[in-house]
Amino acid sequence: MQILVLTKPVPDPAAGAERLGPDFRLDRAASPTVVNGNDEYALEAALQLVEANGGEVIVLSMAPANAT
Amino acid sequence: MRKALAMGAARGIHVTDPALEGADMPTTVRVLAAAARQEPFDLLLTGIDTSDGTGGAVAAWVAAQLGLPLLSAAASIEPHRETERVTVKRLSAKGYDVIEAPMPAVIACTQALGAPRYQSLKGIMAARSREIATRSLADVGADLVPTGGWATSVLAVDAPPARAAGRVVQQPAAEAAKTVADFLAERRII
Repeated sequence: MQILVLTKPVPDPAAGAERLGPDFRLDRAASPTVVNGNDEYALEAALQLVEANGGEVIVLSMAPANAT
Repeated sequence: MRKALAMGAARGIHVTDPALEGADMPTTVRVLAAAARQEPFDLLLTGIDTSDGTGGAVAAWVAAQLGLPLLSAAASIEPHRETERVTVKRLSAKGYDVIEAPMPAVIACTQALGAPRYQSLKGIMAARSREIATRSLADVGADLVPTGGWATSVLAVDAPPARAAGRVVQQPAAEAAKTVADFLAERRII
């Protein structure tokens, strides 16, 4: 089966360095980036489904160019 | 995304475009749904929300945009290939609801599904050769960005108020229990 998993790069909560710009948008340069924690649970579930049923997991992200 | 590949994903799709910088949630959802339409899939999985925006609406909104069923707050996922349906245990206040839908379907995943694996060295090495396809706005649909500016914007951000000092009850146990119980009862907590 084909499983799409949406993931989002977010500021690393462990770094505690989140900062907003003057327009209240996230200053992405201020903090290291990680895969959103809850998305990893979705990804793990997808990987287990594919291991049991065959197929592949594809991750889909909308993110700034440097966020790979 | 490289980490997702190291955990075991086969490939990635990275939608990126300068025009999407600061995109609001409606636009983000339209773009994600348009990109998803370009890939045949049985299931589309998301986390229940993100730790930065915490909007928590993307799964439901993408499902609506795609015209697909949404199975929310999933604690287990069981696909049935022969009937092309999927059964999900949905977390509820009292336990689980068991819900079912035809595939393809969108599922919002909770931590009850089980902890994510660590990326192995082998996985990290393998991820290097896996493809991350980059898509521009033109690739998924250039008309997805509103011409009149974003529909939503953040007007103000405040830190949560500092927690006021608590009340410490220092009495013999029986009296203290009564004080605490009265305190809770006054506030209709018990």
